[in-house]
Amino acid sequence: MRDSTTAMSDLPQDMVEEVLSRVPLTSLRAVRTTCKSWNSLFKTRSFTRKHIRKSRAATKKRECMAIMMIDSSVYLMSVNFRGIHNNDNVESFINRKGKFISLNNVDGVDISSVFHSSGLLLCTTKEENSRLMVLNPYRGQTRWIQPIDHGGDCRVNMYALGYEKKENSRRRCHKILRSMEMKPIFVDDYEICGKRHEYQIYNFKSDSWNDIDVTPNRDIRFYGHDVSLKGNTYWLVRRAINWEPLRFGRQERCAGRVRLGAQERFGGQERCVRFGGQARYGRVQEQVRTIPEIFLLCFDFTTEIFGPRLRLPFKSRFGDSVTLSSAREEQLSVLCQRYDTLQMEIWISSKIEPEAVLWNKLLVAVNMKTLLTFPFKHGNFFVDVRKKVVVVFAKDRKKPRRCVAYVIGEDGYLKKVDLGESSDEHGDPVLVCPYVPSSVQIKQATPRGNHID
Amino acid sequence: MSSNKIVLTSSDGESFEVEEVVARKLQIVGHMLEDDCVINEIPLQNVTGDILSMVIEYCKTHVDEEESEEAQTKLKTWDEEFMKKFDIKTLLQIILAANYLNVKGLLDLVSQTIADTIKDYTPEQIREVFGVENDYTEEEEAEVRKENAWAFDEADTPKP
Repeated sequence: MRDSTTAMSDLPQDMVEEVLSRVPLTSLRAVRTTCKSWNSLFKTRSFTRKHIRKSRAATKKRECMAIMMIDSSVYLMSVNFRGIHNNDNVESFINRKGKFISLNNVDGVDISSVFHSSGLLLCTTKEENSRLMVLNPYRGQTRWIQPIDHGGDCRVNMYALGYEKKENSRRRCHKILRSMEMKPIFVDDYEICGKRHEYQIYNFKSDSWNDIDVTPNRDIRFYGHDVSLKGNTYWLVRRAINWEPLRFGRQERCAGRVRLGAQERFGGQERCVRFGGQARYGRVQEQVRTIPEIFLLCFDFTTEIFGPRLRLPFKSRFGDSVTLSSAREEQLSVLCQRYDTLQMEIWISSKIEPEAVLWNKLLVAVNMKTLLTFPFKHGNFFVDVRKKVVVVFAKDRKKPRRCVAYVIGEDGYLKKVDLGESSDEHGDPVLVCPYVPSSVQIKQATPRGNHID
Repeated sequence: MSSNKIVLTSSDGESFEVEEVVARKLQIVGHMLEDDCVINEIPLQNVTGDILSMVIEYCKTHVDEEESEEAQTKLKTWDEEFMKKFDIKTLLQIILAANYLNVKGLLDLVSQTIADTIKDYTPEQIREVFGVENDYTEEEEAEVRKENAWAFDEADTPKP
């Protein structure tokens, strides 16, 4: 026999809510499956708000959450910075907490890449005709999006997820940006149109893809991961090294129809120029420039245009590892590790808008050379602004199948945490984003149009 | 003033003499004292002696909460150890007492402890441990699981 206070159902409703509002993200499915009244609790707006508020508060106090991809699986990681400096058992500070599971066999697909925006994730599948899925892991909700068939003339080379901010409204209209690299067009061996990028926007409300004319600058290259902040997406970009017809004297007059070929050489004074299908050589007037500067670029999902190039707070040189991350949902952080000294610096934005950015230096880790023998290759990272500690996710150089996290502090403190094995020797574990849950509902497609609240 | 002693009496007649500052951590007592400051014995009808003694132990430890990180960490460690002493049944009794006596910190602590216990359980185990009745039909349960198809689940622990 149970006495009257042993059952949870004997607690007053507000105390049941008090307890359930503290349940960790990874237990939501189990809790919702326990009984009807608990499930319906997670469908009420006031309760989910409370739950999210509590898990955000816990995030600030106890640990941070991040989403990470190893091989084709997506994990929820917890990173606990509290006391990490003076504890040798670092393993307990960085953990795989949860994993995306799919119960429905139809959905049982491998994920090839993940993009993030304010609690929503956009996943592309590892299939011949890659599909798109938008997901709110907090609600376990998904929506599949039909990619348009673009035949063999192009390939998608970049996705981003964001939302339009409506004035005087809290409603967000979510959108997907994609860039496609179009193959050059030849007519009788003459290249009439070179390789170029085209951009399209998918609008959740209208459930349709539309072309947009926003080419940011034809000679820039996106690299590294995108970071989503307040509905907009930021990238690190650099100007491509080719496409510099100015250096070719007379030949530049044909620039509209001239494209540099793949076989160009950068070390010397000469470049090979593809000219109407035939290779000719032109003397370069001056030394080929050093690698162009890296800068920051924002796509504004409200106005649907790219912002101007934004400066980084340091000069990068060839070989330096530069990566972008976000901090506390509203700041950008950028990491630069020098290829020669391995010195690492991290900057945090003090102001960030699509058209302007200001930076503050957060951390400089010196003497890295005594601790590491190599720079981090891609250096996906996660930073704790208050503790001035950074965690870099990479592969163990000695054991290329092991995924590891390096915990680095200002005083050159460094520790390594093993995150498990990857079947891929070459790919690094990918930190998608610091994760904060959101109760945003993904409305399913209906004939009258679909939208996300 | 802080040296004033107050006697708290439980529903089963057990009495505890505590300093006023400790008794004031029980907000129900605090309100009574504000209404009539000459009280020095307070009967608490909805809480038994064994549970009240635990609440008092908590209040004594938390009587002066310092801001410093070191003190906070120390207190947090104490809280964790304190909670380890109790089984679910006792935790549910403490949470009821903390609610009745209005001890915010303890209410938060016990709620969090119970929530943390839930995280290791399957739905079947949750029902068993917390005495929750399964009111789903098989089809309904399958539907809820399907609704949450892409939720996070406990990670498989990485192989050593």
